Amino acid sequence: MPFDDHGKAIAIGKTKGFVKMMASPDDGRILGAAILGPDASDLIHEMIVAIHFRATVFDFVKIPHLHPTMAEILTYPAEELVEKITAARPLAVAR
Amino acid sequence: MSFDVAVVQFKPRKGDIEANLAALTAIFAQLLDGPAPPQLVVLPEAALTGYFLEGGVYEQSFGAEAFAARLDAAWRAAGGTRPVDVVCGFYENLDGTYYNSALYATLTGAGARIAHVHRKMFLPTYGVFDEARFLSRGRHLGVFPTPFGTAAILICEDAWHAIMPTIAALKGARLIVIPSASPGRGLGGGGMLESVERWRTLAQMTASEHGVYVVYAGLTGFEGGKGMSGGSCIVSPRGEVLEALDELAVAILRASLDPAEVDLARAALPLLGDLAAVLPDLWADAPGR
Repeated sequence: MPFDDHGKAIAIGKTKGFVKMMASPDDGRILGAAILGPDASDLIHEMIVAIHFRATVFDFVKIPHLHPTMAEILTYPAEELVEKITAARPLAVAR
Repeated sequence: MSFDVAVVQFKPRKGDIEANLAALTAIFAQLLDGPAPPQLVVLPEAALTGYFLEGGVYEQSFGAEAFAARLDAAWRAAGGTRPVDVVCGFYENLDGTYYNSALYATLTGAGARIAHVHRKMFLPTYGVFDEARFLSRGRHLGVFPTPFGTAAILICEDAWHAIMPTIAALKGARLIVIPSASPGRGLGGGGMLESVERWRTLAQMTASEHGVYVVYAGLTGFEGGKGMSGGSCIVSPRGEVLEALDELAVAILRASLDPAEVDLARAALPLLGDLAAVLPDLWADAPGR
């Protein structure tokens, strides 16, 4: 996910770089993350906390992220991973 | 005789109707693959385009017949060889006037028969909402026959005005279907988002006051930083939540509706009959009369 596609980064003119997130295709557990760009050394702490508590991308997308903030960018790869993992599965049926 | 319903808590790819129809085809195939395919499939508001299109509604809208034909093609592509009824929200272009609509149609795989099109009457235009800038409001609340019995469709905010389900029930509705796209908001909902809790309460109150089944289909996924909260549910005419889905889940909800339950619930708590009796007096006292 590039910073030049993120509203807050565009608004403050810091659009170089990207965030990257990796998760298990089996259960969505977050395995790692990389951030290259503005405030990277601060932003990465959210990922450290998530990984410490063995969060999944399904957990992550439920955490409110304020708008407009730089931290909000982390929800984008998480949402994409949720989409990729769930797209490969039949939908759960509740009855 | 029971009536089997499947609510598809759908997560669209915003503005990509072809990708969303492909996803719907796969869901139809999954439903057909089971031992008892549903008789009615309910999808949320703006299910196949996403909700927050703003001016994009002019490029992502359809005539009702054309939209029903796309649904029918998806049913056919999924292997559907027997008819199924479907409720689906869409942006409608009616001769150059644009509505937030939902249709009830029977898909045969060889053509669709539309039983009803409801055009949203209450267009939220406050907070994060901007519907009235881009859409016209519907002007008619209709009911229509289905294999289950008489039904009505209310789209999202329509159902927040108690007079809407009341009029639908007075006109004979025994089943109220609510396609919705509700951005999740509020964290004090006792384990649920406040907006989901509000919907759940509203569905239960509507069902128990009028003795109707309520089928609520919530859109899910994220659109421009707003999380569509899902929370689909099916509520009995006594106000019991028969089945419900979590926020954000992309999933299918199944339940069997028994038409006799409507009669039994109304016999046990005849509020609708009481209202019909008192309504002329209330109407005579209404402001402006």
